[in-house]
This record gives sequence, C-alpha cells and structure tokens, in this order.
Amino acid sequence: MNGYGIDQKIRFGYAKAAKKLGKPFELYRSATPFTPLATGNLVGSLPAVVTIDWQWMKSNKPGNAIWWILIDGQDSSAPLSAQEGDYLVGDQTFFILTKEYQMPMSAVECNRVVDIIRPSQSIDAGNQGYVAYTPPTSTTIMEGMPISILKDRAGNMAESKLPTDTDQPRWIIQMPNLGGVKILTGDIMIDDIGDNYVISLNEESEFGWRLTAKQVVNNKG
Amino acid sequence: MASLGQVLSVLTQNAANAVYPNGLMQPSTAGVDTTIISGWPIRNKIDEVLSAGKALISVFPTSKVKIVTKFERVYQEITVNTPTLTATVLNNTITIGGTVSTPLSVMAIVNNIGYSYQVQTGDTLNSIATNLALLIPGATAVANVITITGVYSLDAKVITTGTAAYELSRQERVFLVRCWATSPTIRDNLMNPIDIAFKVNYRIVLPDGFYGIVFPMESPQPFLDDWEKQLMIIGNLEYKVQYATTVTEDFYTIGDTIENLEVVNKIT
Repeated sequence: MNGYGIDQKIRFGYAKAAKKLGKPFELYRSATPFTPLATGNLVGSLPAVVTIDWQWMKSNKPGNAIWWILIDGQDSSAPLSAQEGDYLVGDQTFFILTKEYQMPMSAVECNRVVDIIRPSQSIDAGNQGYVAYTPPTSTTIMEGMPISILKDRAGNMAESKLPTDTDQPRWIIQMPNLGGVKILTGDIMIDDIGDNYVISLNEESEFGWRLTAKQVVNNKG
Repeated sequence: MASLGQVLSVLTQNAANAVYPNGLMQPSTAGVDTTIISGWPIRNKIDEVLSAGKALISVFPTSKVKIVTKFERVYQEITVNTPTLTATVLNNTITIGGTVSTPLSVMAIVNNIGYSYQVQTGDTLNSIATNLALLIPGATAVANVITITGVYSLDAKVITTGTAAYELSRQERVFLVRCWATSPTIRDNLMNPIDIAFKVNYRIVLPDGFYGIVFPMESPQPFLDDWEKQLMIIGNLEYKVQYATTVTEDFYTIGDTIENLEVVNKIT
C-alpha cells in the first residue's frame, strides 16, 4: 500500500469513528463567497464530531474556535466527503479549515454571519462630484458568510469621541477562501447584528483568510 | 443660500474645466485621464487610478477659516418672474391680455384707490376682467375689457412673484486642491492650469446668485514627494474663498405704494 492508500485508510478510520460518535451535520459546498449556506449548495447530511483533544478529556475554552474534527473525508465518499472550505451546519456551524495529507482534519467554529463590502467611487475622467464612503456606493464582495470572529484587544478611542463612546475593539477573524475572491485592507465587514468593522490586515494562506479588523463603534448599520 | 458644499462643488467644477479646457472628449492638460472629485478619494480606488498611470484631483475644505461678517442685512433682488398677463389702460378701459398663469394678481388703481384680484387656477382673461370689475365701483366688464365710469385717474398693474436674499454671515475658508499623479510632469501639467484658472476667474458665481471671491494662497507644502514609494507624486494648491451664507425668500412685486384707507367722518 502506498502513501495515498494509507491516507485513505486514515480517512476511513476517522469516518468510522464519526459514524459511532458523531451527530448529524449538513454539509454545504459553495464555489463563491455569496450565501454559501443557500439550499442549492447543500451536498447532504453526514455524522461528525469535534474535539480539542483526542483523549476526550478536555472541553473547549473561550477564545478558541479551532477544533479537530472526525468526519468522512474519503475520496470514495465524494461528493459527501468533507473538503477544505466546506461548511457544516448542525447544533453549531463549522467550516473545514485543514485537510492535510494523512493529517487529522480541523474545523473552525463560526459565531457570526457577515457581508463584506468595498468602498468605491467613480474614477472616470472629469468631475465625479463628492466622494465619500457610504454602503450604497460600495461593492459587495462577500455575502452571508459564516465566520469566526474572536476578540483581539481593546483598541483605541473612537474617532467620534462622544461622551458615551468606548474603545474601538480589534477582532481576529477566520473564514474560508471561496472562489478566490480577495479581501483587501480597508474593506468593510458588516455582521448579522449590524456591527461594522474595517479590515486592517488580510492574511491569505492555505488556511483561507485570517484577518484583523477594527470595530467601528458608532457605525451600527 | 450658498453652503460650504456648494462652494466646494463650484471649485471642483472649475478645476475640472481647467484641466479639461476643451471638454472630456479631448485629453486633459496632463495628457492622462484625470478624475476630479470633491472630498477625499477612496483608498483602493486611488491605487487603481495611479497604478493605471492616471491622475486624480481632490478638492477639500481645510480647517483654516475666518469669519468676516460685517454687513447689514439688506435684501438683494435675485429674480423677478416675468408676468404672463398684461393689463393695458386706454382712456377709461383696462384690457386684460396675455396668458393666464398663477401666482399673479391684477391691480387696477382707480382714482388713486387700488383694487386687486388674485388670479385663480382655471381663470380666463374674461373671468379675470369680470372678477376685477366686480371689485371696482361703477365698473363693467365685456369679454376681457373693463370699462369704468366716473374716473379721473386710472392705472393697471400685474403683480408677479420674485425672490430676494440677504447675507447672514460671510466667511473665508481655505480650500485644498490636491493633484495626485505618478510623475512630476503630470503633476505640473495639472497644477499650473488650475492655478491660472483660479486666479483668472477669481469671482465665482454661487447657486444663490451671490459671488464668492477666490484669493490666491501659497500652500506651505506645494509638493509632497515623500510619498513617491507609494507611487504618489502629490501637488497641493490652496485658495481662500470668501463667500456669504444667505437666506432667500419669496416676494410679490409691489402693485401700488399707497394703502387704501377707509375714511369715516364722524362728527360728534
């Protein structure tokens, strides 16, 4: 048996464990970052279980969204075989973070659903009038994306300096890289409870997108 | 009223006219497509403009401002709408002519007493003559002609609407015209025409009909070359604009300067 065969054997083992231990999750696979949980992206239902420790003796703690995941990832089970970037929706929502050769798979727990928009303006020749960022003049680059957004640090005082203002918190975000759509610094992220964030750092790697963002405290959409 | 935003719009348009003297169908003075905006560019878009070798001009009000209000509040006539009706006096008759529209009033001044009829929607020349004749003692109307008996003095006026404005305050604010380019040549070919145009056309007409005065200034930092690494060759121009904040009101023109008095002789 070659390395690939061993890889598939390992996946078979995880799939078997998931069948015994897991709960049902619905698996969504989207080619674009636009409403990946749309009905049309549903591949099917399969058992899965997450843990942060193979001894089954540790539970998760606040501040960590990355879990090991036991799920069927065998090529022979395709298309109902977990791939990087797939979303799993059950009691919680996850996306598959890694599926590295012969390695256990990991998943990220999602706690918000966001849209990402990019401030825009006309750059045609001639007088284009007043230019300022407003959501209606922005371009939507992602929509309805479940993400992990966890606290980073308190940040600086809000520019608006209202008596009731607070610091503008910094957040760490993880999300899958779907369809190769680029996130740029300066893009605006709006979550499902109306909080607005400005992307200040955009790391793109095999793990998808890892971002830091500044919350804009007075811009409750 | 002339607002800050309106002054900004006029300056932006003047900058656009300066770098596109022959219109948008012809190249700009710098030879590259140039976007002209009020406010500040969106950062990803300025990257797009400059990486394409194009240029952008932004106009923005700075924090340098001085209040120079020192004027009486005197109304200045802005517009008087031309009345569409006519009222022509001939001997002891008034002929109503022209086209009926509102708001207009027709006034007859008979023996120095004014009688005014406000034109209603749906009125005709004949109905105006009839209604005005009803107000004047001893007057009759046939079609659009009013005949008045026992008259030694007769005049007729059509009262129309207009606007007038007065200054509430006057201020001088410094505006920054920034040329964003990718080469010193493009920068020069944008800055120089704007500078000349702003100094030639130093009286700018604002939407309220008042003038703004553009005073030349010198930017403390005309060139910003330290952003070259960002492929940004920046040129700054500054102009101080004095403009008035005004309030415009609607008025009726005056038909008669003498108020009608009801004189009652009471002998007790």
